[in-house]
Amino acid sequence: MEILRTEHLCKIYGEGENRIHAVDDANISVAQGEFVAVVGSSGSGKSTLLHILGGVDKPTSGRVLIDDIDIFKMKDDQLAIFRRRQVGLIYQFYNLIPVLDVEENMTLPCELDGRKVDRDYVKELAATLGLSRFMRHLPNQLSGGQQQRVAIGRALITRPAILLADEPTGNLDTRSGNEIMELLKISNKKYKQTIIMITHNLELAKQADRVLTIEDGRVYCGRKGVAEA
Amino acid sequence: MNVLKKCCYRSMKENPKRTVVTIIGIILATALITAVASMAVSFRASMILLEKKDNGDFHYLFAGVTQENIKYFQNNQNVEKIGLAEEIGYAPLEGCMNPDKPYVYIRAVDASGIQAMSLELIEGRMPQNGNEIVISRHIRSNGSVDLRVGDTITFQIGERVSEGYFLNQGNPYNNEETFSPIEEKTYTIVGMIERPNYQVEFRSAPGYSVFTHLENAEEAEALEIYASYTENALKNSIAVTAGLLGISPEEYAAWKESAERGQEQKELVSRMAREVWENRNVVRWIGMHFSDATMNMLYGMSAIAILIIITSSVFCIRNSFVISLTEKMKLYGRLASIGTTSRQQRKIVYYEAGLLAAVGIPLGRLDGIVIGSQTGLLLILSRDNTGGGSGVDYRVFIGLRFCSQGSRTDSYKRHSGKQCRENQQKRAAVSESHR
Repeated sequence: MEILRTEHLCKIYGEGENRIHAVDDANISVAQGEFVAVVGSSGSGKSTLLHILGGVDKPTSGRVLIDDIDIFKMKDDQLAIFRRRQVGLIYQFYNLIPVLDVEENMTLPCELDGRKVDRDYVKELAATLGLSRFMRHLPNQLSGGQQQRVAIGRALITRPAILLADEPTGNLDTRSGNEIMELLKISNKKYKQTIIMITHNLELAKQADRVLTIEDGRVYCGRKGVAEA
Repeated sequence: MNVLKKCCYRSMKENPKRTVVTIIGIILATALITAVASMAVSFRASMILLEKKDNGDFHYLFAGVTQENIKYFQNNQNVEKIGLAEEIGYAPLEGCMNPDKPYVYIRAVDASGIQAMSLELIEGRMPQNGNEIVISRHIRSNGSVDLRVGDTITFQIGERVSEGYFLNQGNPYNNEETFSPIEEKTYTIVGMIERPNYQVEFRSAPGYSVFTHLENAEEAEALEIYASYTENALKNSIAVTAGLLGISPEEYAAWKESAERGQEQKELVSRMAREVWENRNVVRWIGMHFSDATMNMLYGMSAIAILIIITSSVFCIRNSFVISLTEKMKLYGRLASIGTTSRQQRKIVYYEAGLLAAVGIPLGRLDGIVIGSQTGLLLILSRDNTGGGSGVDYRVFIGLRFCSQGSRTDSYKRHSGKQCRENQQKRAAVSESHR
């Protein structure tokens, strides 16, 4: 079942001679439960693409449909609510709230929604992510790898339709990076979580179900020169 | 606690310096606004007090109200209180050296009347019966008549007449007038008052004011009524006064405005009182009834002052917030990426502002009230008691006031008993060492 689709997605910056196609006519389809890696060199437009898919940035033209819903037809507040319920975002630099502890950071999307937090699910998730001993710790008391686990936990807490990870291992050492990849694979397998991961690391990308390549804003399926996703 | 409030509260706690700086900014801004407002309010209140001292503590004077009409003033829902005075008459003042003021002018007044006239006792006590009087200080200083508290004096009481008309304190002394004695009365001087304000005794009045106790108000033929209206009545003073006089507000307004009053106009009022006089300065300051030009000027100045205050307050507080702008942008950005709506983001801002304001505003208001009320009072106290300006710049007084506050503390230390003893011991020790 298709969970995400883009139609002629474009993001253009500047005008005239300074015009830049950060995303150029991207047509992507992602099935539910799929783990997709997007690779590209620096400045290829992969982060821009991810932010548009997550509703954080608006495209110049084109559509993004998540669960058959055109997310850019919504008003800003509706989109914000949709994002915190249906889209999980993991950033390279974690973006945890420094004054909230691990449990509070993880349950933040639920609290923002005003929903009652499923404490059993939180415990299960924390156990899966290896955070059970650190629930009362603040982010500055954790290592980089631990902080990224918290970020994963926060992204998964609402059981989103799709999980977007922007270079989740970019700020971590190899061992921590591998641990994070394992956790992403576990969440993909265990929770049937659809994941789109941006990375410049081909080794990590190979661990995904499918690899998309992006170059100068154009998305290719695996091989450069074949613009088909 | 809601998670966003937790974020906000803990963030403020994590950065105490920033929080304190912001609160100080709020205190300063609030103190500025409050001080200016307090100063204005205090200034107005002080002006009212000063005008009452200079012109009397009443709103309207109804002179020559006959006994049958007094009941319209008593128990009247528009009249808060009344002071009563009866004109006894004039008496020649023997030995008086002022040719323009050869008389004393005797009035009987009750306790409310004393307050209404703002009579200021400087020696002795107020009269308690109709055989006792208080005299004005300027009988000695101006008339060079050596009367003292405790003296007994007999007056030939009568009326001043000129060309068939009875004269009053509004008519200066002239050589053509005659004095018609009516009765003789002996009084004991039990007290001395400061020279009354010019509304009680005009500068050109021919009689020095002397007051006795009003014993039987119900037997007086006619009385002066010093009426103070209620707050609501003062807002509709023309209608209320017209009502007391038994005429329409339009008729009263026309009577009030006309400089020359014809016979018909005089009769309009005389059914109730011989004369009606508004204590204009007091009423004006209470009701802020100034001319359109004055009010426009006041509004204009207020608007400019408020604009300056608000602009400087905004910058004062804004600068405090800018200190933490980068950090706040990071926090709000992270929250936005997780999915906070614009309403939730506004709530965080309002919550933080509310917490800071809850501390800063009460402290700022307290400072502002203290500073503003002191300054307002000083502006008024710079005037001397004779009613004219002392010519001293108020800024001198403000500076002196704050200096005196510090020097008072210092002088206490220097002149306190303990300090004196210590100094004596030191001097003794020095003297001993020289021997």
